[in-house]
Amino acid sequence: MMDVRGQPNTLSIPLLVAEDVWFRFHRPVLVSISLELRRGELVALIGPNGSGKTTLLRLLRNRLRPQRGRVLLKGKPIERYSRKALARTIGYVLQDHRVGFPLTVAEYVLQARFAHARGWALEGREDVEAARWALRVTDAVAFSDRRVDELSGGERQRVILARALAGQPEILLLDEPTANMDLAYQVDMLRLIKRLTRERSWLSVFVTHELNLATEFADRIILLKDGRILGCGRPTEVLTPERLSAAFGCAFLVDINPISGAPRVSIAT
Amino acid sequence: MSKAGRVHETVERNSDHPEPVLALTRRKLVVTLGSLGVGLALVMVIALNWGSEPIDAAVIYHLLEESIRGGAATTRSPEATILLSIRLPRVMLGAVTGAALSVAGAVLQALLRNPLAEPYVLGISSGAALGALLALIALPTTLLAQPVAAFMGALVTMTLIYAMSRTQVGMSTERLVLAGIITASFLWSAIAALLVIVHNPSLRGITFWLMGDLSSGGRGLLGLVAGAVAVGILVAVVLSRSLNLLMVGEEDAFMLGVDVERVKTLAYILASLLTGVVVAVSGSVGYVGLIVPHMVRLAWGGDNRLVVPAAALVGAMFVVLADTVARTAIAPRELPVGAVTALVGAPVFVYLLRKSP
Repeated sequence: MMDVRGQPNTLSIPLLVAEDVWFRFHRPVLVSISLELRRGELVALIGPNGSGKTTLLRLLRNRLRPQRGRVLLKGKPIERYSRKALARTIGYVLQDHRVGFPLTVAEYVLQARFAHARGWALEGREDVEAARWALRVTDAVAFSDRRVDELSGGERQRVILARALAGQPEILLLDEPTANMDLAYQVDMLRLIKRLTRERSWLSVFVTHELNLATEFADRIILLKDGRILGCGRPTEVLTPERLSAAFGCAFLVDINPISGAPRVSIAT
Repeated sequence: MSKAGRVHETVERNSDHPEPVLALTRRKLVVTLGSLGVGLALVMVIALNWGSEPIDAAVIYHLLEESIRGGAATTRSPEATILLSIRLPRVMLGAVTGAALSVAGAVLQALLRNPLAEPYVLGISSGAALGALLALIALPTTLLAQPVAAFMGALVTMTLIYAMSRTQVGMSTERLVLAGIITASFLWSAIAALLVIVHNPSLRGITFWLMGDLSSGGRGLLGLVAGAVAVGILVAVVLSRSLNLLMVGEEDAFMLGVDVERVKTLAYILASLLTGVVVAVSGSVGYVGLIVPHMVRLAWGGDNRLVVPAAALVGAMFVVLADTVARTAIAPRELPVGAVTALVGAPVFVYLLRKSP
């Protein structure tokens, strides 16, 4: 957990904390979740469908309130933050969606500056700079004039990330950010997220079904199963064949990727 | 970070090029709205000029100036009477009606995330008409009762439509359009039944009003309606940046810091207000809220901070022109202005329906 530029980090208080969080909706969705997430960390959230990954992300950004336990942002209960303050702190990348209106990519990305404006205002220089930067790092400048509804799935996904970045958040929550992308762009995007997380001392949490992307990029992996944490720690600690088959219900082979040295997960049938 | 990937190479490649203008600029806002304002003034002068008795633009200017100074009231020429008592209120009412319905359309489209949403198509105009009619029957002497009842009628219909078209995964186009058709046909039947049952001679001419008719010139309510419409448009402009976010999705708007529930409630009330007060005096002029915001978005893009005020100005122009056609096309007889707008609007609706996902 060190800053790349070697500057000391304010790591004493965890940035985002879940304390014994319970959530039920018809059935128990999350059961006694406790987490401490710190600045500069890239965390992968994995688990089978319906294990509660998206619900956990919702709780971590105060979209849902837990029935028991609490979520703390910078040591303060998350529900005490105003909607706008929360929007400035947490950037959220959701799964792909349609836009039915002729919105340009630039207009879409600038939406992230809403929480930075005081009331009704046209975007200022600072807003435009933030949007330009976000479009540059996501490699989306080339189509910033195009309409969002005319982009390909992969392009749209990059634009959705660009919007989250344009808000210059401290926490980035990503729900399957690499869905619809080819492998090269998946790698590019996670590399970018990792670099920004380090350089800017952000906290990034991403949900993914690509276990090998999780092991290659994440500092920590949280494995969920039926709303419980089955494992939480470094990829090598969490991704054991026993744990994986307990979570996903089929046999796995885990070896070491000879190039990166990270664990490599294959299905063993 | 030595492993520079494709992303970082592109950064350098792109940094040589001048970057495009990203945000809506004050310049674009001022230039667009300014030229539309001039356009509206021209259209209104044309509308005042045209008719069975053409009045010269210079005379129009002279008479308007005089009436503002309050000098001409005692010695009125026939020309002055036609202009100031008949045409001017009618043109003003057309402008107010067009502005209100267009802004109501733009707001509903953002709110329901559907470019097909519109007061007439969704049956909200019919709800307002039923409300106004009930007020006319129950309280025929209370002038204020009609706009208030029409507003209530619009609000109730809006709530029903919203409840009917909402599914677990959000709003669906099919449900929305179907809910609108069903509601409108139900309400029109109720109106027809009411007209037969009550059979009051004072309700003669009401069918013409139901189809959209500006010949009343507002029946003394023009000032009040214009005031209510101005307030509605102002609130819509204030909400326009939030509407931009809501247009993309409620989940998006929420996470980007919009107070979704408050903005939605306000927007529903203001769309009902704009529709209701206008229907009470002009009847249901259909499809204006569909055609106008669509044209505005085609011309200047989808940013509601520009779409809302531009739709008000273009809508005013559109209805004033449509009414000029309505009263001159088959002179000396008149068409209801609603028939003219519907003849244009229905094909536009079909076009938008075919385009929608």
